[in-house]
Amino acid sequence: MKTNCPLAVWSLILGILSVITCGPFTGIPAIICGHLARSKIKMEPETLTGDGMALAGLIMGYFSVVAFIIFFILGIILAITIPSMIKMFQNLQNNPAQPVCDIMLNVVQQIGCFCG
Amino acid sequence: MEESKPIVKFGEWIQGGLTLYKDNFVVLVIANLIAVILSAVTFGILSGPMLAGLIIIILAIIDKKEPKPEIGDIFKGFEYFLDAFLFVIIWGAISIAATLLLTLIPCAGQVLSVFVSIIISAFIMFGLFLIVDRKMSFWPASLASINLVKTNFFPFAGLMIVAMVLGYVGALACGIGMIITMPIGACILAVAYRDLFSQQ
Repeated sequence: MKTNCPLAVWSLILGILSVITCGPFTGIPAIICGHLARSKIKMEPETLTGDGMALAGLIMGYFSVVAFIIFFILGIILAITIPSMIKMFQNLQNNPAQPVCDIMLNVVQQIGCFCG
Repeated sequence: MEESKPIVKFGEWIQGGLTLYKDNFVVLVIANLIAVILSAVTFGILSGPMLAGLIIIILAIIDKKEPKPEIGDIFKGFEYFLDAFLFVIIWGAISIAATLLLTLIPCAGQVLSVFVSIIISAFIMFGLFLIVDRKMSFWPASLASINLVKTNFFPFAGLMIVAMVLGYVGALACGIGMIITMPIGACILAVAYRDLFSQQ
């Protein structure tokens, strides 16, 4: 009788956790467990099953790691650009389009506050 | 030779689906609750295998398989992970893209988008059943469903609308009721599927 590969089950659980927390701390183990499980199932197809679970864990693991990298890069870009944008709008405050600059400055400051 | 039109037995299938739902209320609702929670927390990544699992349970009940299906059988849907995942993701993306494009048309756009999403759902209504029951791949299953539905489109679309309305009626209770009512639609479609495809 075929049994579910334990690594495939772990990959699925860690994958679900990685999507919920959007973090690589469970995403990377999910990817590792997923790959190990798939190779183990390929080696012992008569006794082991759970290829779908391993694949689901892999997809969720990769998804969360890629999402984490994108958010990390976006955070760095915002952290670099927001202070310089605030400075630019502060310098422009003396020109004739001052009300527009005030609004823009306010918006940028609010984004900065939101991003911490 | 002209292909014979499959007969849509509205009353019989709806009655059969409702009876199936009533007799197996606890298993179906708890299995659906697990499916909804896992699909929601994973942004829909697991919705394909979870739906496949729900279909496995319903078909096993219809076929009176022994031992009786349990709630844990919902995870058997992972055996069809790749095809179920592709089916839900690709048809979902097509449906969303068509809906978004149509909503750009002023006035009639929103009504048209509802019609298009119903048409797409009607065409692929038996796709996931074929993936689970006949172990077909995602694309041949979609084509088989489309080929069957197009022979008698309007009655099938009507059945799909009835199944959708009965399934989503729980949304009126702040959306939470959907957990209870969603399996009704799946039961109706499962009864229809068994009737149509057991003849082929």
